[in-house]
Amino acid sequence: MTAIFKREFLSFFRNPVGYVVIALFSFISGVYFVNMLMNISVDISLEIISLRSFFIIIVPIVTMGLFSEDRKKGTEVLYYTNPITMFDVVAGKFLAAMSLIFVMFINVFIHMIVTKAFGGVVGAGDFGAAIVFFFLAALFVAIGCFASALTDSQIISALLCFLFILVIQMLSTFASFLNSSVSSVLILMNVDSEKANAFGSGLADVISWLDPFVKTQRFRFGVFGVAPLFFCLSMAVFFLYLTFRMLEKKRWSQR
Amino acid sequence: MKSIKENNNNTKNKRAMDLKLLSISSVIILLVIVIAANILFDKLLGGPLTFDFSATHKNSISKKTEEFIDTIPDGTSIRIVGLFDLPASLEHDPLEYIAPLLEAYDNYAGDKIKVEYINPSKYPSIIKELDPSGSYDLKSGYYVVKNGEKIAIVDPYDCFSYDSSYDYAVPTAVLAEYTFSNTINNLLSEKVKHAYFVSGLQEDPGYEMKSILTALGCESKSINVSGDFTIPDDCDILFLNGINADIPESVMLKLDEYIAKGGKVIVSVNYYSNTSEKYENLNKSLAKVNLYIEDCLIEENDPSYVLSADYYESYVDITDEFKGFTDKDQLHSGFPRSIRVCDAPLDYVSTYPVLTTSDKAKAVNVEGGFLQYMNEGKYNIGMYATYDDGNANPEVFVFGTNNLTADSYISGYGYSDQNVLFIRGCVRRMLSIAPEESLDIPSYPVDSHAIDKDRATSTSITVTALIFIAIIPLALIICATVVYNRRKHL
Repeated sequence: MTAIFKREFLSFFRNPVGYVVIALFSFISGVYFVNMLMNISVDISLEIISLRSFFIIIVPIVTMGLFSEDRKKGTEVLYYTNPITMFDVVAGKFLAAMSLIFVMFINVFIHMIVTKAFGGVVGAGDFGAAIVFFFLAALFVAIGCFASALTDSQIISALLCFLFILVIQMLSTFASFLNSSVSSVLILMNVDSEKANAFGSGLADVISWLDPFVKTQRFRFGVFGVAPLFFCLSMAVFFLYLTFRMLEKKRWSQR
Repeated sequence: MKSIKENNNNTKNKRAMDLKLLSISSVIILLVIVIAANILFDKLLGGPLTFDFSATHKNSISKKTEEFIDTIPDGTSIRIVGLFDLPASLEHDPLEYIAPLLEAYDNYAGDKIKVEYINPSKYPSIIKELDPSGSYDLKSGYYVVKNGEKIAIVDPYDCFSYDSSYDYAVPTAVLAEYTFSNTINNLLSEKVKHAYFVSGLQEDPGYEMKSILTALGCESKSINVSGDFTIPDDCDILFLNGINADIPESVMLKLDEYIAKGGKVIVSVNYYSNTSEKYENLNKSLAKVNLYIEDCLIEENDPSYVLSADYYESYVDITDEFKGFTDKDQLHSGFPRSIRVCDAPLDYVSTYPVLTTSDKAKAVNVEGGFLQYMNEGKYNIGMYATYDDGNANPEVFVFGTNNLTADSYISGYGYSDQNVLFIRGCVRRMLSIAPEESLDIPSYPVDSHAIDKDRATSTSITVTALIFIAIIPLALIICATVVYNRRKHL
């Protein structure tokens, strides 16, 4: 696994992708940070929360080539023929992508130091937001790995990952839309309005339960819960297992 | 040969099918395990494994509230109903300070306190359910606290203290726990007291004072001096809070009557807000309890008492009689008037100094010249008066400074300030409220992310902007270009 991790991590810096992604992240986080500095009020947790919205761009770029490139070049056969397990391959690539995210995040740590130097406050909420950032990153990188394992085209892989993350980011909006539309339809069908609203709310609650952003929002206020982190981690494990199964399928495929 | 091939194909197909089945079933099983584990984790360990690491512990209830909840009898069922949908995201919402705290109430109190969010536009029956008689005007956007038939309404915006020196509301401190714990306490208590604030005298709005009174189990209302002014029979305490105009004669007569019947009055004035006001009618009423508000400003000249360069913001000593109200011996006073015994004192009235200056204070008039009859010496900034005869004794506190009751002071210094503790003590004494009957839960400041303006100069911000927005990203893009050029032919 170490060899895979090393190879993948260094490969980010052997082509422009790693540098471009870090440059993009530095620029976006820098804009947020400087904007707050100009207002003489720096809330690092707010910066981190805002940066989470850019997972939708950054994660597909980072993960698009993880498996699809090997498949396109035919180098995936090396994983099947070398004395390593598929688990090593998946875990190595996943950890490499996470390490790149960590390298990107160094920017925010520097912002924290600068904030302290300017006499600002860096508190539990900021560290909570940082922890959540990594757990969400783990979930989205796992989704990216799965998207990359589905196809041999980097573009399609990036698009699939983009779509998956978009759906997750829209879960709350979708839940509230579903709530109002289902309730309205039921009311039109002469169902008692309170019962219709209760059904709509129940449905919305089920969908919102799946939203990792809602689950983790209170970290920013200094509320540290293990359950939301467990959710992100377990979902990441699930998507990594899906990736693992995809590779296994190809390994034993007749064609 | 053909049959062997077919046999091989069949074996391969069977193996492929088995693998497919294994693959799909393992994914489904894992998904079920993940979802079930998360549901269980949420239900069983979600609460215990949640920690409040915020600097002010704003998301959890204090020891004092825990002790109070413990005293609530078993079988009591208090409902806190938010008449709105709890937003999915609490970012930039006052509920950020309220919703997690109420969850902490719910978690700690078990069946005693239940917190719900029900939007009346979706569930209109909730209004009828909470208020069957329709005596309260329940509306969306508020919290309703219900114990049996008794109801209290809490506006989320009342859970904050505001800086009143701006044209718009700037929250300075969070009072969410203070508000909810005291609301519940009041609902559980048998008798609610009534405080009335006289309005129409260019007075201080008294929002903070009303909030303090709520915590003491007092409902606050206002009575305007215009029209038919009457002091209601249920008035337990009357406030003339930071008034800048004298009371009309009709009010003076009613006030005389109220005092004669054994009423409790707190008067606060200062010199800064209205230098020309002599409070002639008010002084006539106060003369019934031997008190008199001077038309002069007290200048403190003892350096150990002075708080600001202009000598008018200073410490004042609490007299021995009233020292038990706070932990400290001194309070803050600002632009005070002096309070003295009136010229023709009545023999059945006892007066006591409450707050005094140092021996080096001086009284000055509006032109800045020294008053002839008041030179250097000790002045009273607050006085207390009562009757000696023992029946229907009125009690009157008169303060020559607004620093004990004004919104601008309380919002700036918070509910744990000595001045606030002192005025609470005065109210407790007048209304005979034992300290354990009210919950003195401290407020805490609203999160501030301000940076030091002296360090964050325009130059340093420009340099920082240049580094983070231009130099670092550009350096990385140059690296990317170099790497691309070197490796494009490989």
